[in-house]
Parts: sequence; structure tokens; C-alpha cells
Amino acid sequence: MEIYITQLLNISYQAAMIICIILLARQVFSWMRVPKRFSFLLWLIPFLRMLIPWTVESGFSLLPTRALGHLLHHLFAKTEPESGGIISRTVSYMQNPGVPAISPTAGGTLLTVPESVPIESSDTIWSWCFIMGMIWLAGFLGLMVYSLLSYWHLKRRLTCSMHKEGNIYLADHITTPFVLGIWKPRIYLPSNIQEQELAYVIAHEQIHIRRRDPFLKILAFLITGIHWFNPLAWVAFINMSKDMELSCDEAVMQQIGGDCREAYASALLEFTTGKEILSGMPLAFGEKNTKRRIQNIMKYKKPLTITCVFAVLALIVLGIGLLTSPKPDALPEPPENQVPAGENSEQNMDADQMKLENLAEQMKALAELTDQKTEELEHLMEQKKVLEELIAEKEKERESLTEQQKDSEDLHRIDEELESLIKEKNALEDHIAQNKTELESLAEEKKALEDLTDQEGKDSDNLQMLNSGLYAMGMEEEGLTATGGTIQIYNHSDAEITFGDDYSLWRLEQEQWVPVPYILENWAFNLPAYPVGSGKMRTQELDWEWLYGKLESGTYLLKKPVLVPGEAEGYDKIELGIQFTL
Amino acid sequence: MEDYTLGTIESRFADIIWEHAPLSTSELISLCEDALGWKRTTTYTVLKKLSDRGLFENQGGTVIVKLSKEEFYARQSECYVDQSFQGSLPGFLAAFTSRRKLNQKEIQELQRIIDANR
Repeated sequence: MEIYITQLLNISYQAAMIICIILLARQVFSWMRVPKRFSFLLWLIPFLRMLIPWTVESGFSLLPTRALGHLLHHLFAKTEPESGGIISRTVSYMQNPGVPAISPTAGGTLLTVPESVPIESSDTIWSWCFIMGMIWLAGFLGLMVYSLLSYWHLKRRLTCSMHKEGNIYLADHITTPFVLGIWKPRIYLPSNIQEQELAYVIAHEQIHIRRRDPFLKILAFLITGIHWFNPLAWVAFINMSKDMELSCDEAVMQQIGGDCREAYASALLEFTTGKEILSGMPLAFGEKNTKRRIQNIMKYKKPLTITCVFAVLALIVLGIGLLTSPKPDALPEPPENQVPAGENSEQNMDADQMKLENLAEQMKALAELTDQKTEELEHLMEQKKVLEELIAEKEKERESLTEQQKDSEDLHRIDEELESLIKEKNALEDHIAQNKTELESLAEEKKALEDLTDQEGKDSDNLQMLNSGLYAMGMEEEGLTATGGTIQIYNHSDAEITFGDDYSLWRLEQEQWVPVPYILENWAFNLPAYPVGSGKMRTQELDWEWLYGKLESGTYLLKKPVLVPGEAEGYDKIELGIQFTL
Repeated sequence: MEDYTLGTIESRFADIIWEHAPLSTSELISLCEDALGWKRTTTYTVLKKLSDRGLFENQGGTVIVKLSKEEFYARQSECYVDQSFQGSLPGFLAAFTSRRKLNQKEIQELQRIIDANR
């Protein structure tokens, strides 16, 4: 039943758009003096759309892509009561094999979604669509009963009628001529009709019969009846009826030939004094809309060939453009390097994780540099020690020389050696000082880096984000409590995705994810649909106290089903997960 | 107020009865079939309708007249004067003569009617 209602709403919505376009096209036709026959044919398009439940996909469609699906989602989101544990529809999980699974690995970022968990359904599941279905049925049947009653009433009024000739009858107590019946249509004329009007009136009605207008009008009325809740369907029906009359008038003038406009117009006028006896009832063929018709008759000229060619082309373009659905957006082909799951996950590693790894690398480089510098420093210190010893030796040598009064040449050589040694030592000391400051700055850098890592680490210890490539889920640390939290759904794909109120919680116990037990029995989630556009993000506040109670501290996994465009028509359900620690 | 209007077809049917009454229903049916192309049921339906309005009566297969043609049209004009001229005969005559003068013969006839009702 739900399917039928959804389908009906879908079609009605699409038809409403088509009707708006047709009304516009009809206005353009009117300005261009296109014969009314073409305006009448225009209405074939929306009525076909309203009648046929399926469509052909084509690249030429003028209708917006997927718009109706979205509208329906919004519609249902509005019809659904606000969240709060009211049971309205069953939720069943559907594992999608095409989506990379997530599994609990030691420190890995990917988790496998456990077996699908069906949630209990309830008796009131389809209450809303049942009510909608009943309302529709009541409206439809009401309309049909009303029509049949009017038909019966009219038929009774026609008892006092008299056969005139062929399929023409005279009847008392009717104010306008009309055609009645589908299989053996009869023309009924008011019994007080004047002889001079007769020819035009009969010509008009015979053309209706020849063109099968009574049948078409009843069909159009039935189709409108199916879409009785759609005001635009009624707009279409009324305007279609007008165009039917106007095009019939044109056909009469073509058939009679010559300038019969005035005589025909006055014949028409004769029947406008009476009230509208048939009030929207299509079973009989009442004449109405007199002013428009007389204007149209008086303005009538033989149409130009070019106008007709234009009209035919416009009809073809609109027919193909409006009666075919757009091809659904193709899912973007994943780039080649994304195909293996492993690489895929690396590629799409979340930004935090990336930052953290970057920091760790920097840390490592810093530590290496520090080690290097420390080693160098030690080496320099050793060199310094050796130099100092050497200087001490040389000084001793010099002292001994002065005592023995050696020649000045030796003394001079030793002095020179000593001087160069001292110079070397000074240079070495400079080098050491430089090395020390370098080490100090390295230590500072390390500390800053450690602080940063700590901070990042804190975030990522608490919330570990899991994602499936094109779609991701995040969680705000702020506001995360034992009773609820706020999640974010990211959509990096080209198409819109939707999600509902449903989710499940899992707890890490001895390296295993186990479902958190419910504190309620007999419940289900509401299933409104929140859309997330391409490249957009949407947050959702979750309150799980009603379902799971207050969570104990531990590590949890929150899984959320998301509807993504599927290969066939419709959506695939995938699950996103996020891990958090309380 | 009773309805003393007859449609074109209804008056043709009524004329048949006024002309031939009293007559049996089977006679009426065959007369109507000839003149109006009606089926038996149609004749019965319209007869019933006009009997309900007090014109005729079907007494065991015989149709009798309850309201003669003259009386019916008298009531019809009475009804018309009532509706259009608030029952004022002078008002009606004034309206009637406002566009066309009465000729001598009409005046004499009217005078005779007035004298008879004096």
C-alpha cells in the first residue's frame, strides 16, 4: 500500500510540474495564434503522465533529476511525528556487500559491521499510509458516486425527449445542447431550439462525436479523479475542456466554410443564458466558457502553415521532454587507486589521523637530530680534552727549556705550537657552545611538539572516526555524555544521501563488539529522511537514554545506516560507524 | 405555487390526451409511439409526471382529464400575471399595450369580457 501511495504522490508531483509547463506553452500558443487543436493536444501530455505509472528514461527529459524522490522524503519527514519513541514504521537492516566493511583490528581504523540486526516491527507501522490510503479512496469514491448520481439525475430529466433524426434528440428542461453516451452518443438539443441555430449546433456536436471527445473527456475526468487531491490536476481538466470546445469551434468553421463567424457566435450566445446545469460533470457535454469561445470565433483566421509546423515541433519536444524521466545520476566511478580496500582506507584517512602521524614523524626527526647533536658534542668534548692535555705538555716542555737555557729557536718553535693549539682549543670551545645552544632549542622544539601530540592524541583517543570513503561520520566531543551526543554526516560524493533517526550502539568487551542491550521493548525508530547534499555535512543530535539508558564508561561503537544512491533505481543502505570512549 | 409550465414536448403529449380523452393507456401508448417515437415506459413516466401535477389521472387503465386545456392555460396565465405583475391585470394590460395598440376587434372582445364580469 505504501508503495502505491508513494508512486501516486510521485506521479502527481511530476504531473503538477508538467501541467505548469503546459499552461505556459498554451499561453505561448495563444499569442502565436496557433490553432486550438494543438493546445488541446498539449493536454495529452499531463494526462498520459497521470495515467501511466511508469516512465521511460531518456537523456532528453526536461524534468529535474531525483527531485520527486527528495520531495517525498521531505514530505514524509514532515508527516512523521517528531522523534520521541513513537512507533511508526519498521526498520530493517540491509547489509550492502558492495561497501567496504569495518572491523575491529588492534589500533586499525576500520571496523567490520556486525551481522544485520532487525528491529522489531509494530502493529501501527503502516498506520499513516493506511490513513492516507483511506482518505484517497474516500475522495475517489465520493467523486465517482457524485458523478453517477448527477448522471442518473440528468438521465431522468431526459425522459421527456423526442427523437428528431439520426442521433439527434430534443428534450424539455435542458438549457444547453450536449452529447451523452460513449458507445452510442446521442445529441440532445433543448426542445425550444430555433431552426437557424440548428445547423451550427448540430455540426458542433457531431464533430465532438467524430473526434471521440465524450470518451476522452470521461477518461480525463477519471484520471483527474485519481489525482483528486492535486489542484493542478483540476486546473488541467478545466483547461483541457475549454481547449476541447475551442478546437471544436474551429473545426465547425472549417467545415462550414465561408464567413459564418457571426451566425455561429450568435448561435452560441443563445445557449448561455441558462445556468450551468452540469456543474463540472463530464458525462454530458455541456457548452460553457461562452465569452472565450465567441472571442476565439470572431478572431479566427485560417492558420499559417509555419505556425502549425512550429506547434507540431513544440508538441514533439514537450512530449518527449516531459513524458520521459531523467536518467538517474550515475554514481561517480571510483578512481583506480581507490579500488583495493586497504589503499582506499589510507587514501581517505581522516584529517586528524593525518595530523597526528605528521606530528609523530616530526618528533622522530627531531629526536634523531638531537641524538646526532649530542654525539657531536661528546666528540667535541673529547677533542677538547685531548687538546688541553697537549697544551699542558707543551707548557711543561717550555718551562724545562727556559731552565736549561736552550737556544731561542727551540723556544720559538714551542711557543708557535702552543699558540696554534690554544687557537684550536678556542675554536673548539666556540663549536661546543654553538652545539649546546642548538641542543637547547631542539629540546624546546621537542617539548612543543610533545604538547601538540598530546592534544591531538587526546582527541583521537576519545573519538576514532570511521568512514567508508565517499561518506563519513564524525562526532563532536563537546556534548558527548552518557545519554547522548552529536554526530556529523559528511557527504563527499556527487549525489545526495539521506539518513534517518535510526542507529545502534555497540560496546567493546574483550576485543569484541557486542550490542548494547535495550532498556525498552517494542519500539522502533521514526524514519524521516534528512538529506545531505553533495559536498555537504549535516549534524544530528542523538539521545540514547530512552533506548539504552545511561552508558557506563567504556569504548563504544555507534553505527548509523545511511541511504546512498544505488546502482539500480533507488537507494542502497550502508552503515557508517564511529568509535568513542566515555 | 403550482408549476403551470410545460416543455415543448410535454405540451405535445398533453395535447394528445386533451384531444382523445378519455382514452385507455394502450391507446395512448400507441399514439405516443406514432407521434413522439416514445416507448411504453416513457409514456408511463411522463403520464405519471403530469398526473402528479394534477393535469390527468390514470383510473385503472383509462386516462381522464382533470384539468382541461382551457383551464390549464387560464391558470398558466393567471400564474404568469401573478409572477410578473404581482397579480395586477391592469398592469399586465398596460404592459401588453405599451408596444402595440389594440385593434377594434380586440377592444370589443375585451369589453364583452368586462361586461360579463361586471
